[in-house]
Amino acid sequence: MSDAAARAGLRVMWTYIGTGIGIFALMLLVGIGLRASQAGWISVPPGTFYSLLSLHGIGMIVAMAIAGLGTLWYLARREMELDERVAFFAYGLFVAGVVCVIVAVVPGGYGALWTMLYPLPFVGTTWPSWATGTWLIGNALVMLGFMLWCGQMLGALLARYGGVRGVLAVDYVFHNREFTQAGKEPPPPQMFAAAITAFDGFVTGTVGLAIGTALIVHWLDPTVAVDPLWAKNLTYLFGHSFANLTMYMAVAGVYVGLPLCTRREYHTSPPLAIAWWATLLFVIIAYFHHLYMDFVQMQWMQFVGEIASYLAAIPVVVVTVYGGVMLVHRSGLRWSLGSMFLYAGMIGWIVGGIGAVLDATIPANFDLHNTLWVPGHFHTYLLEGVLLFTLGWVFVSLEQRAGTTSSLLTRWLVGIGMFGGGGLFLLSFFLAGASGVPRRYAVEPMPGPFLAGIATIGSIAFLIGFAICAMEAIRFARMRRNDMYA
Amino acid sequence: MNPRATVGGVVLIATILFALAPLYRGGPEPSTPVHHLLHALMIAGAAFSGILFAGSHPYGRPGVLWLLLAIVAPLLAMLLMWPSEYVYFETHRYGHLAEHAGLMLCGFATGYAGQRYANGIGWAAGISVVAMAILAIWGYGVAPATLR
Repeated sequence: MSDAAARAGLRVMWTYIGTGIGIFALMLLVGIGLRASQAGWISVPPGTFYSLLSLHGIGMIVAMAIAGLGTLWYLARREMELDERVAFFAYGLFVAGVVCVIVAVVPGGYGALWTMLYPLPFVGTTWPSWATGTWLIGNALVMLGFMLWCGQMLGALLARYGGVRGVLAVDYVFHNREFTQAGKEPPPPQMFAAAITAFDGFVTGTVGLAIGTALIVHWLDPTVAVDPLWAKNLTYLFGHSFANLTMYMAVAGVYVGLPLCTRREYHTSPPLAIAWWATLLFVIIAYFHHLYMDFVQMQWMQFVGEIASYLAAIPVVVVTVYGGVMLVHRSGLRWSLGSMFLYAGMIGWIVGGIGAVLDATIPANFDLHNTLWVPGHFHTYLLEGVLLFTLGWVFVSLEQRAGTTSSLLTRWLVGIGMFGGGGLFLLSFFLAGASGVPRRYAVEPMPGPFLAGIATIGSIAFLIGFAICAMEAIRFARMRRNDMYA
Repeated sequence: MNPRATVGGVVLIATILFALAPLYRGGPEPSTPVHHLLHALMIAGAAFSGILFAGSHPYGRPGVLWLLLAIVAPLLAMLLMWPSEYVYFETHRYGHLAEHAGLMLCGFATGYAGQRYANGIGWAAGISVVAMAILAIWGYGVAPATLR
């Protein structure tokens, strides 16, 4: 790869990651305000609360997606030809979508969240109709950008590995001896993350645009009816899958970053390929677990939802984390912010994943459905999983470039803030959920407010750790190049 | 003309004849779900012929606009399938034909542009646009009787 091409690739990655982390930081402040309001520490009117909750929800998921897509694009580009113009065009659509969403919420007062259930956001609203339309158009723009990104990745993968069989390493798994003897190489692990994001992203985008268009048409012409159960199925297929894919985008950073820290290779194996096949298939149908309480949903779908929830998450988590731990074991790893984040992110992935499959287990769902357990698991997954993987890759890159690592004191301060404070913040969600406190309530029943207070303390500690981490990243970025792992 | 393009031409002509139905078909318009299904067939035929006409193209840098077209055309097809328009088209057969032409154009553009961008993307985008039309059968302009 030429120097100019390498620089262009880095430009794409840092633009995406910088934007994603920037939006994340803003949404973190909004989130702290929301928990402080639920604790009764500050006064936020309910209408404003739901508007901010809408902004926080979609803002966080889009922030993590943008950062993850940038990381994955750069890592995939090291293996194959990708056009930065497409990446920047998709980025433009993401930014346009984010601007629409902000306009819908800040002057518009939209407050029906992003996984709203039809007939929301059209009935019983306190905001003007244009805010609903702007929100829906903003969502559609983000989805178009995502489809564009997936289309480019898919085209490049199919060309690079000679079709779907090559991308998914089918011959490597089923005819391993012949494959290896022929001197062929399967795709490296991060390319499975790229493939699953591209394949499932295309499906997710298709469904997202289908329901998005139907809702936009209903907004323009209320005589066009929409079936509520159909709308819920499509909304959750899109929403659940998109949120899950953020993890698969970010995990590519582990496959490339951890080997840089341990000076060992994270290679593709048949179990890894098969685990990713499971994710490819089941992540799309796992969303049925969001509809357990919908008695009109066909019953077989409920059972499929439970089984798929386990099969989508467990194989790839187990294989990836086992591989990661084996990589670190007796490697003489030098702990730095980068390696710390990557390692801790695997713990967050497991804890968030266990929270998710527990909630997806039908008997447990009777108690946990729509309680704070649900945000508990996805905050764990995003905050202590996706974010840490992204920051891990950022710091591995910066440390590698600067040829240095952070001091022990800095690592402790960041660790106490982001893991300790983050843990406290997340624990309060799980405890409140287990106590039956409902989610999406501006004013919660007890023990919600008490636990929201604890969560606020935890989230402020997290913010402090994150701020130290941001300052450290800026310090590294300003240092002269001095390759550490070269 | 190569065999692939010949098959593409045959599929396209068959789809056009199918799309001309409002000219020779009498009686009341079908229900919205049936309408969506017929449109899905039309889009599928057009997308398939677009893929065949495009042929095989290597993945390369100059195709950004092809990719954009392959992604945007399905969205335009969904907008053209706006269900309340069907009532209007029951009394305006040439308008209905124009709508069918638009749907076919979107389907063809999706398959052709996708395949021009990179091998396989025509199929992915084509399946995407047909899937959208099929998904529409169960809920786009369709609601349970109690909620009408």
